[in-house]
Amino acid sequence: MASTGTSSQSTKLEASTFQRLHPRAYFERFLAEGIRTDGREALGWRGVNVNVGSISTADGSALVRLGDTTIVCGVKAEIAQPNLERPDEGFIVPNIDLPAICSPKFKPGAPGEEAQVISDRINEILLSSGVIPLSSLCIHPKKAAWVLYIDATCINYDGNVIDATLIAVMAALKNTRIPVPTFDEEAGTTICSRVNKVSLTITRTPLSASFAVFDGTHLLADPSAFEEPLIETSVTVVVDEHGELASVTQVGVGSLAGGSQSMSECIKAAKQRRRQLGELVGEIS
Amino acid sequence: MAVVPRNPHNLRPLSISWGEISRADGSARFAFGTTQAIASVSGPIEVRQMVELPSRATLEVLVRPLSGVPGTTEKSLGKRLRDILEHALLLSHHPRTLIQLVAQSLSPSPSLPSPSPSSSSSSSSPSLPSSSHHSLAAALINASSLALLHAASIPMRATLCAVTVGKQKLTTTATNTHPGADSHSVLVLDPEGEVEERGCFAFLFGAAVGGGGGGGALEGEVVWADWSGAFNEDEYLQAVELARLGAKKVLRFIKTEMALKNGFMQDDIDCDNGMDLS
Repeated sequence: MASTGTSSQSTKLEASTFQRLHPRAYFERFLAEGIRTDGREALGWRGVNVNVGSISTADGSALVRLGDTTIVCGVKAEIAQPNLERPDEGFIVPNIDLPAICSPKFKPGAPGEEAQVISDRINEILLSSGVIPLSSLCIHPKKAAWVLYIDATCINYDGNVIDATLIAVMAALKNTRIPVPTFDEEAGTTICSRVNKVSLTITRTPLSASFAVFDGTHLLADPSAFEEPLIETSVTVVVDEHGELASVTQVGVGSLAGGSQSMSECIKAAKQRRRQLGELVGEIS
Repeated sequence: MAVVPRNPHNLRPLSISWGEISRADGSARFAFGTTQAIASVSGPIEVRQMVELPSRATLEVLVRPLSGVPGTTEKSLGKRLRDILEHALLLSHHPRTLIQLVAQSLSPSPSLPSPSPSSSSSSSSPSLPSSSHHSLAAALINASSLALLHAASIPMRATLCAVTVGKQKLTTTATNTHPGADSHSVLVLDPEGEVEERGCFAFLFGAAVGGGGGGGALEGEVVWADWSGAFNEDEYLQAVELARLGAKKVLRFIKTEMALKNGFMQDDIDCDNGMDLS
């Protein structure tokens, strides 16, 4: 007959073992009680923490924590020759890295699939929302234009990297100060002021809200790393600071048991989330 | 000057060609007008131990552009296609095997602005309309679906059909920048040329799909939506319904072509004896 101390210890051990061995059943037990494994409600969001300007060698930077998911983003501006087909446009080159440090599911080496998918999504969002008009990056048509290298690295992975990364990217862009350029016609080079700096022309601040559907019945906001492998549908809604939709993406069956479509609820919740983020975080309002 | 509005429900001429890749278990080519893609399926075949799964088949989807190396766009498309197909295919019927799907674009991808001085993208596409990537994605999805049907080696819950939806501006005066108050533009299916592409939608047609039992077979369940540009929720819902009509047309075309391939006569098909692809 075990003493009380030992039996409560073995009960604790059993719960975490159960989680590892039967994650789906573990998750279902929580959802049956109306909460998720971290205590959140179905449409509850994790807290956001944004810190800008900490990387002095970058032209703009931000560190974002969404729950435990942590993203560091730096923006560097360089000068390049514009494309022949687009002589008065600059370039925006986002790149997201998910290195081995952030999670045991990533191995060292070339960027894995998830990193490439997120890089592509961020690129699509930035281009289709028209966040920074490429013409505003032109220094001298056909000769010189700014290239904004946006590098984001995940240093702790707890799911929903896309939302956290977009917050980091937008905060870093807003924090970016680039030198005032002057194009010297005779020499054919660009001279940058050491003293005068300007901010970027940012026309919109779109931020994403991601959701997941579990078992065709539960619509969950902001999935964590534990929940992500268990869900079969994911929805991402991008909303800007005016509450206007910039893009939606859905992969998987959208309808929930009971006939409603998850997309309508997601759009509503995404707008609320965007408002909330704008109030919480001045750096990205 | 007003632009002549085109019929919003028209698709470009569709074409399907089966089995061009003779060594694969299944292959098919699909085209919306000039936007073409071809896909091949091999499987169930031997799987390498690293990706072997004990309870179901491993599904690998590779998307390749017409020219150049597969980049992040192709990787992203491949992953999403895999996520949907993993639910549409009954992979548990073939554990410890591999289903390899390769989808190849036969139309040029839109050139992405790239800062490198000798970038291949700036030299490969002479004077093509930009942003045709949704059309290409839809063609790749349809080609993949057809290749799986052609192979008939993996049981499928449903047939996947995709279409693109765009927005045609009805006046050539200054664009209406406020979203939603759009009396100056209309949603159209399968946009090409001057009409702006806005998104790609794919539907699964099958009795076993969707929450409301049985509805999936006729009406289709939206499993892929990729919509961007300034819009409000109503416009999005309208786009989904328009896409659904388009996807049903694609499905009808697939059924007809499949019946013809299997030796049915055109008259029998026209009676629409409901060849059940669910």
